[in-house]
Amino acid sequence: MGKDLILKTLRHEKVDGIPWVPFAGVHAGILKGYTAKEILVDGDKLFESLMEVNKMYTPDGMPVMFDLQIEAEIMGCELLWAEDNPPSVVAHPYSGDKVIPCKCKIPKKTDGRIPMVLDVMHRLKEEIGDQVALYGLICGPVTLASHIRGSEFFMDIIKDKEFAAQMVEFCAEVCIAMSNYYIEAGMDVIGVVDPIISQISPKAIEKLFLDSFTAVFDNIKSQGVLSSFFVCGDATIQMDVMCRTHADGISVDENVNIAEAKKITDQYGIAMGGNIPLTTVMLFGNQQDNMKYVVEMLDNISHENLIVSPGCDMPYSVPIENTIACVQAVKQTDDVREMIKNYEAVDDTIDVDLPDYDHLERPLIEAFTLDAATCAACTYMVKAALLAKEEFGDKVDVMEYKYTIKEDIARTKKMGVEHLPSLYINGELKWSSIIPSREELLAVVGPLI
Amino acid sequence: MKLVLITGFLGAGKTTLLQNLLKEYAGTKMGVLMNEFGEVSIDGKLISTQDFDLIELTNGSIFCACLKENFIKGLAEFLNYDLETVFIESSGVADPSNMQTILETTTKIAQKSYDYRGSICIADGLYFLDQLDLIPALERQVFYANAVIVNKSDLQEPDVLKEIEAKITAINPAAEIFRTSFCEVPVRALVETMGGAKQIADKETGNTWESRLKTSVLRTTATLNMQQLRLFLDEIKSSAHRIKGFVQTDQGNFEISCVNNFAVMNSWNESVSETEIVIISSVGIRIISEFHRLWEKYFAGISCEIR
Repeated sequence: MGKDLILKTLRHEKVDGIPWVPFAGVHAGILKGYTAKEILVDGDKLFESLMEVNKMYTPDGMPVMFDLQIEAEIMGCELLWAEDNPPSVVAHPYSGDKVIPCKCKIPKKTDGRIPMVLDVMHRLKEEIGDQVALYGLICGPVTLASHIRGSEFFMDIIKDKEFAAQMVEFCAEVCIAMSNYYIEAGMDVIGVVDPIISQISPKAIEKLFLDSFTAVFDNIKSQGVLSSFFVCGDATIQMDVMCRTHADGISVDENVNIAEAKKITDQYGIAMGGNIPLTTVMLFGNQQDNMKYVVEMLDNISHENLIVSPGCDMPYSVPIENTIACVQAVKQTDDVREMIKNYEAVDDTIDVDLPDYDHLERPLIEAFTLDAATCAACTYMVKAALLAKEEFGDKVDVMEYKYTIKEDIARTKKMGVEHLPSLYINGELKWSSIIPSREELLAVVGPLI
Repeated sequence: MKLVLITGFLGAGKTTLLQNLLKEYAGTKMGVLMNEFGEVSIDGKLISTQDFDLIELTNGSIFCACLKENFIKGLAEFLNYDLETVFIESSGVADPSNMQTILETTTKIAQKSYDYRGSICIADGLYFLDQLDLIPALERQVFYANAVIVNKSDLQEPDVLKEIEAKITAINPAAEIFRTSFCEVPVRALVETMGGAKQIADKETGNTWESRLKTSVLRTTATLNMQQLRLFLDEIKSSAHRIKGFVQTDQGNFEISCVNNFAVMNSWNESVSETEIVIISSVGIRIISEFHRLWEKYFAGISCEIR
């Protein structure tokens, strides 16, 4: 049974197949013709869409709701809604107000969209809970801290470490409360989704945030429920410290070399999940591209302790047939390997012109992102770039290139960008995956004006 | 109607003082407003055998924005009763800096006012010096006090007691200082001589700070093995400022109270519906991991809930 595959893998027991978890968050909506916003606010539409995910993609495990802004919204963050993306945080209640929120701000079961999510969890549990492992996803403490405090949180990590640690500790209490609600609603796995963690040095995580993460995962474990730690971006160097948080599994995206990362998780006896590329393969590739990626991944990695899934929340418009190709490749690997043995990917790279960096009229800051509207780390990278705009106005140019747009993908490749998000100034790579503080950014841009 | 505030860090002896007060004031009409930092009230049970009016506010500090409204409403409600004296037992980490504003608001709502006699602060004779460095609210509690009781003095060296008293005098030269054990002071006479609130402009209370203190409540319906419980408490107390509650064991029911390394278990003859222990962490959120580790070590297989 599919569900058992997930539970056993996360318990590090032997299994006779490879489990598959499609992260159909907003993408679930497209299966029934609903917008992203519709399924994130309307329980009936969400439930209907998730039942369709179960039917179309035959998952062994699946998330109920993939929206890292649920907690933030309740705690006073202003959200910008989109029809084809989860909402993003545009205003932060504790930006400019350096205090640890009162415990009375911890979301209650009856707050915001939580009752709707819990209701859908109960209904899904009833309908498919004995066949499919259900994942309750919560916003991780570091991402939540940056949601409520804004870009200043990154400055706190440098300038007031104790405050940053206390803020994350508070957010971990939010995580514990949310995990408890979702566990009560019957979730088999709690996914702690903390994309921002890839932007913070392992040393800082260890010193400031490890106790908070460990408390979150220990609390889940104490209730007999399994856990997974989701990260986005290049978390290669963070892998070791993530393994020490007591999570049962780790899930990574295409920025991480999953075969290498799995060597580390294997040492700790932790399951590894990932990492079908969301945009280049799932969104813009064809069926063969998806099959090829999955088959090659499975051919290059040990199969114990492994869960195959997209790198993160699937883009809304991923062609349904591409996801189906992934299912096929996971479940019928030998047949699919045969099908694609002569397939060569089509190179349809568009030609783009790069700026003449040696003769710019004014400093140019370029943010290369997955998409600032959907990737929290990218949001903060773009916000960091915009701080220079705030400071210097028309004396600087700021551009964002998204990996969801074909022209931008071509530009990203031509620039030789290795990791997303990255920040370039006048054509030179300055910050790769690590978000600069305001001071750091101004110190680099200021002298160029 | 007289109003007296009792302050002091977790475990210093506030409830003990209150119990003494209730005896001394027996026969008079009094009200008690209790504020505990945890989400359940342990102290309320400890004094509930007496006859008086009680309002309990839990899960935060009465001086923090989240409970301030209820605190003011509670104070205003007591003004409608026929009482002689109202005592407020504040949570151990309460910062009373904005008491004046709170009283003014109460007067506005109730259209009556209190005769505020001031505050009595209890300093923990064993741990005050360490706590003072760690907890900013303590200095403010001493600063605003009319009298400071240095409790548990029988357990401390005279030199250290002198040092504690010197610190208290440095913070608040006007405060009257009492050395006691079990908070035994002539409390009724003391209240009579207290001269009212210190006349200082209100400061913004530091009580958003205390949100940082991690409080957990452990509950289990299982009957615990006494020996294992002692071992469990002995280990976990090094990660807690304060542990208090009621437990069901194979040797009967007990009230437990730990302050730092000092632990007491008293037989409790009344019924206890389940074991309920409040733990106020001294290691932040790490208490949760510590708790689960030690529970597994001493009570593996016994279900419990920690919130």
